[in-house]
Amino acid sequence: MTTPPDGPSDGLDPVERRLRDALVAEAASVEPAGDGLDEIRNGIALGRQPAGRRWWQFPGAPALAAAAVLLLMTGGVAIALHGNGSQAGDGVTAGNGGGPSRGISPAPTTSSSDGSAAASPLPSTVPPSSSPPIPIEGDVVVYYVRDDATAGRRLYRESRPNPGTEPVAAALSALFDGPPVDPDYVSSWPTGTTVTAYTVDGTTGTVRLGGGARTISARPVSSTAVQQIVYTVTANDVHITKVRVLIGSEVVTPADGAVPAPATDVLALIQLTSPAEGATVTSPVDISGTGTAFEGTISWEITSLPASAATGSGAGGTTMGGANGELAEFHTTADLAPGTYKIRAFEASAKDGSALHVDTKTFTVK
Amino acid sequence: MSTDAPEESWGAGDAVTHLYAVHYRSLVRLAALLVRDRSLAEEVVQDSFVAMHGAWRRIDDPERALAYLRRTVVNAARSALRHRGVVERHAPAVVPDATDIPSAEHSAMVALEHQEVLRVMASLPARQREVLVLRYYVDLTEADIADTLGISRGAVKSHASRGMASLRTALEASR
Repeated sequence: MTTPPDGPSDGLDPVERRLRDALVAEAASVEPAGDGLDEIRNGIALGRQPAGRRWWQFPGAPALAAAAVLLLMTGGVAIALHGNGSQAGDGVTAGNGGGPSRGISPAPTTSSSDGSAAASPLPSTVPPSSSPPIPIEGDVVVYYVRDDATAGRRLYRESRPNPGTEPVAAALSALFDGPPVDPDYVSSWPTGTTVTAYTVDGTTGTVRLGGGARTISARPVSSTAVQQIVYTVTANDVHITKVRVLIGSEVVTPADGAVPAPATDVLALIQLTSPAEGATVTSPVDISGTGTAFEGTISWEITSLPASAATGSGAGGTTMGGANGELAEFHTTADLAPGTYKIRAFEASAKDGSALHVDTKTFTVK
Repeated sequence: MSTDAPEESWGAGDAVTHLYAVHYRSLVRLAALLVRDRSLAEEVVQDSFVAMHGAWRRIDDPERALAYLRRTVVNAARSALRHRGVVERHAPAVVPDATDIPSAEHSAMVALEHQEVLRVMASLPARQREVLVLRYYVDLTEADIADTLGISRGAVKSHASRGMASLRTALEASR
């Protein structure tokens, strides 16, 4: 019964036929997930590492990523020009009927610039309208979201080592590459969201998303989600004043881009930036962050972990941040014995002393 | 602004879009036969497309692009396997479908036969497995297999015959 009708004439013996049938059946059971083209374009635009390796998890990788920076600046532009092709490609993936598909021949208006720009990482192919982004000293910055019990959903930043590539693309890659380091934060964008292109035209940045982002059905897309990207882009390239966000080919911001919302409306009212979540540091420990509070008074307290060991080894105090709705940096230090600690920074309510706008980090002193 | 862009003048981006539409699924299936893990297979193929994009200037030919992709996929699959050692850990994907009432028994038998073959395949050395997959699934000629794997036709022959011999012995023994 396993002999196919054409069996005797295919020149195969029974074992060969059995092998072929098994391979064909096994192959037929494999159905790609469907966002492969996004993944590929994302990989091209962002200098993809081989499976499973992401630059910010592998400190040795920046050199490899650096090789991709020019490709990003040129190839990224090329991909953005290629919008029509993207739609066509998505549309025909279901049909695997073999033979070249005539319906998707390259868009003639873009093919030449696309080809030369993407294939040759030459500085001369950078469009004249875009001034090269200023590399940020130190880390790149990404923004996540946390629900502040009294102030609503707010943006909190984390930093990632700068791979030495174009900082916005590096930041966007990091933003969607994994969960935030601080478990209290989340992303407004679904897991599996990918950046298929990042392009710059003048002072407007355009971020095209694919993958998991396509599962967002609500329109308009939440302003928190949009601002998460707007802040991530503008924080890493001071030239950018507006950001357009696309999901596939649909623009989900105003057509000419979204501007960053006022900081006091969207940013964390108190955020610790040092020590970083999970960091190992030396004493005296630098305690820094950004915040605003009544009379500028930011409270902080440190408890040792596990909590049972807390007695006597903690620390606490107040430091000056911004006041009257103005966000300002705060700095202080604490002397701590080796161990693992949790720090909370907050505003002590003027009404009843309760902790408002709390941010916490767990860290280790060696 | 001409409307008759000839196929030869594809840019790298166009090539990716076109080749993805036509070949992505079959390449993922090829990779899946080699690594036996769908998502790893997809990563392998995606990486190969990224590599092709980077090498497009040197390829610049839709005909050669497929051969390039196939070669890259086979190589990437081999190193992914080495890297992760997934061969043993992943169960075959073919499972009898209980809702297939009229022929459930028959398809279960067929599936079992397939499993046996695939299990033996998974135990073969990488080269033998690659040659057999390219020969019996992709249906390549000896010359094309040699080109894809970067080995001689004689080597293709001997990998194929050794692989088939192991298969025959193993299937005979389990009878």
